[in-house]
Amino acid sequence: MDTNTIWLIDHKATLGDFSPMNLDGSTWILGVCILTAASTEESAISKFKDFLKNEDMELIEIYDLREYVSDDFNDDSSRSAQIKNAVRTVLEDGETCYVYARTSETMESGGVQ
Amino acid sequence: MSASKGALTVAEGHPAFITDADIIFNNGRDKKDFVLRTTRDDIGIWKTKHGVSMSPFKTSNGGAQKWVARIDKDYWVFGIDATKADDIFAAVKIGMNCYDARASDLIKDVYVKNLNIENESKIDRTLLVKENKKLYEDVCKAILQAAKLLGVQGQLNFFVFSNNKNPKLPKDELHTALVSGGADSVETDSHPYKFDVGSNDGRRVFKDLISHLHLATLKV
Repeated sequence: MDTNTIWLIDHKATLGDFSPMNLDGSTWILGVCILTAASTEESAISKFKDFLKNEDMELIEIYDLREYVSDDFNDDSSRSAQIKNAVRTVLEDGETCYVYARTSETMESGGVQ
Repeated sequence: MSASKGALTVAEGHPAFITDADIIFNNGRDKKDFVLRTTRDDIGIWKTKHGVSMSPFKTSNGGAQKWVARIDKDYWVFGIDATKADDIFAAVKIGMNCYDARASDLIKDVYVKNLNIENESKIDRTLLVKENKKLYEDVCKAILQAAKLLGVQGQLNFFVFSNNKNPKLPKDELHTALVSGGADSVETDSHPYKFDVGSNDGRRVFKDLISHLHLATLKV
């Protein structure tokens, strides 16, 4: 199976108490999942849902699903830096990364500063 | 460097998410002249996870040999299990050489951020809190024991960043663990902090995660 496409999935998901992503008692999370999959959106979403299940998370909404294009992340924001760094890691070993995670506790306390 | 002030950090991850060892209570700052940073991971695993270029060297100073590297402005010692007094002892001894410092300059202020057990996804959920409590208890005991081995006396400050509502170690459970580990007292700063945080495996990054600062006071 072709798994050479790098996908970025910007989304909102629920967060279980015992999710490895839960360090602050949050109930939901915003984040960007970066994974390799075949070149169809269905493949990417399927792998993404498996990832969420393993993390004790459940998809609420996908905001953006796209193939990674480096030119899209040339600004100096921390979001772009985190995405580019994760893409480098995913390219190395194919393991899924999750970046720019903002928990409900963070967002409800005034959001990202 | 007798007038200098340093700190020791444990369980560091990626250099982009180092523990802020200048923070004290009430959003105060106590700028450290030097910080000795330690990682739980051995150097090979750490490099694989985080892909940081550096020029490490192996050294010891009366304790076990450890890999050391200078990253940005700090010395890092790799493969330090903070639940083991011998490892903390080895790190502090190496740090004394690196910074021309006294043991007390390093071990009197110890910081850790979001310490949690490794491989948590493989551990039964019902045991997670218990295992994390044991981890903090063991770290407290190891700091105290290492201080004794180093001949340091008086008060030690163990600063812990952990969210009060962390489901895997809520505030009250954390405090119980620290007292079980030998803390004379434990306080929580009323001021919440926000940090970007990277996970142990380097694959997850949080933006502005809220954390609370707890201070366990240990007496040698």
